[in-house]
Amino acid sequence: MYIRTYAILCVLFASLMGFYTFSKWTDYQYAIQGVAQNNSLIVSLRNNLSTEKAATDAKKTETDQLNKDVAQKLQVIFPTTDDYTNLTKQMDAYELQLSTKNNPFEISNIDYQDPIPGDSYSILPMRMNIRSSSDNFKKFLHMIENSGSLKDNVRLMDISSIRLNFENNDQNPGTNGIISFSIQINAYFQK
Amino acid sequence: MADQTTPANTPAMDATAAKPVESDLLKNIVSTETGANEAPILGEAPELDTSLLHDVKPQKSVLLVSLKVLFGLLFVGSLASLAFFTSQFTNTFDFITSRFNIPNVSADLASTNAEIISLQTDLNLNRFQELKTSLDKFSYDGDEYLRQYDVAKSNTSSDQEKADAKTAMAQVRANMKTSFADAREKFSKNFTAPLIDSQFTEDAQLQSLYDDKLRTAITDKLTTLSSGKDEATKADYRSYQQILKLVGNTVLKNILIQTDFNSLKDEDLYKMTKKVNSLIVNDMTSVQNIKMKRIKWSDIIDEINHRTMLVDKNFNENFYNSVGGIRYNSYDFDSSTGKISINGETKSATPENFTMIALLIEQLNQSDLFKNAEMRSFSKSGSTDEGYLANLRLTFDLKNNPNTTKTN
Repeated sequence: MYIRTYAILCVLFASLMGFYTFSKWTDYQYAIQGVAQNNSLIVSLRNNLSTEKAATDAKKTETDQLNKDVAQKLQVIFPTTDDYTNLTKQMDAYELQLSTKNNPFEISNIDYQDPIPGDSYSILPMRMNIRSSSDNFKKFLHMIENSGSLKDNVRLMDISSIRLNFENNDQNPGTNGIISFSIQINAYFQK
Repeated sequence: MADQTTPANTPAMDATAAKPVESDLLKNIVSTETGANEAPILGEAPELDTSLLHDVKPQKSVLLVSLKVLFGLLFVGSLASLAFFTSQFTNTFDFITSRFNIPNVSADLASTNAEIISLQTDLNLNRFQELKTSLDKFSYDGDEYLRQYDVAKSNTSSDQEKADAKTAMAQVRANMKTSFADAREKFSKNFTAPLIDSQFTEDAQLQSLYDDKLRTAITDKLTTLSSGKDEATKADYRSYQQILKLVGNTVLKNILIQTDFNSLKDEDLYKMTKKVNSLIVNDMTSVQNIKMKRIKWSDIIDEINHRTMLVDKNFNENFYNSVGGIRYNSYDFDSSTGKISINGETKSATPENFTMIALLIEQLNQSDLFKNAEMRSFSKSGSTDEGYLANLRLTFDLKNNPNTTKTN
């Protein structure tokens, strides 16, 4: 009677312990291998990090120079204030550059309106009255359309509206006819 | 009580010798057989002397002893197994294991996993900083490429301007190729490290984990830098804000990895540069966004001239007074509404001024740039001798006005 009882208990215990130990031992072995694998990966990651940081540091001067360059150019094309005085000087310089006796470009007035603040940037609206040859009118449009380039250092602008009047009705745009135009321009600046 | 010295062969049951002690079992048998009120048939129930069993000892068995020993060993072994694995997979016995410096494999695994996450996050942050630098360079050169491309493709640019623009585009393209390749190389790297953790078996789970960790690391940096007042700190703050926008940007990653830069034509590179600019954030982003919404009025005027010449072949040749045709006196362009108004007149020797205007309306409506061209009221004056004059007051809209979706 006792023998049978003990035998059953032994078998039962052996089975339970065997199953529990085997399953846990498998997990344990997996975890041990995992730790070893992780340690190896950690060494590799440390090396990579060290190498890549060194590479980044080596390029830091070049990166800083680029950032500085961009910041300086942005200060001209997209200033932090409405900076209307520099814009006025730019317009005068452009007039000087374009205007010749037979190919006029004459800015008769510039009116700056109140800046319009926005979420990402602000707008300085301005109206100009200009008398120009057709060729210079085209150049002026190109200048506005291509403004805001980092290479050219021209203040970022776009045309809001234009009203053209042809002084000499015998001629049309595309020729050297004289055009009087009133142009509404938005000059942009950082918020 | 029965005498303890009673010999073993003495009958155990003696109803008369000892004081009768009723056995419940026998009593019940007897009472059942005889009924409640009748005398028991078998007499009084015999008394059971259990004391006699005290000296009866089981025979000693080697097998039983062995089984007992085995059972004991198994029991102890089970306890040891339970204790060992509990100490390795839980913190229950930490108060002992820590005292004796016994490793806990579960804790070791967790700590090494945490270190891997930390190192990989540092590595990712460094890579994203480099990625941002490459993309900034690409955007910087791309700005010039876009400008030159516009000049090269503009109908109003001179041949010399177009040739210069193409030369400039080729030079800039080489720089863009380098920065594009750099950015691509950064994005091609593995931003995840494998973890021994059942929660992170899928690549997507790992990617999500490392993205979240990187965002947290960047946010921590931003928090640290937010109080800085000097320009360098502000620049760093802006830079980390911009890096944050790159994390998890799969559209940008796909463009960089899947695009074969060498096979890009000028137009493809132009479009891709605009697309990349729209996907990244840097100091030039606002500038790029404004530029993308500008209307090229020189192209608009050129298209009006082109459409007019399809109706009046002498337009732009100053034959109006002698031959007649179409003459414009004023244009009015409004970029906020995309509306264009033209005032002018038509002159013809025959009374077909209205036809000329109608043809002009049709031409403008056929243009890819314009729509809704109309003039509902027609009037003319003149005679066969003097010729005919008709006023022109056309209005039409830009077909694709970028400003109608303008957001500031």
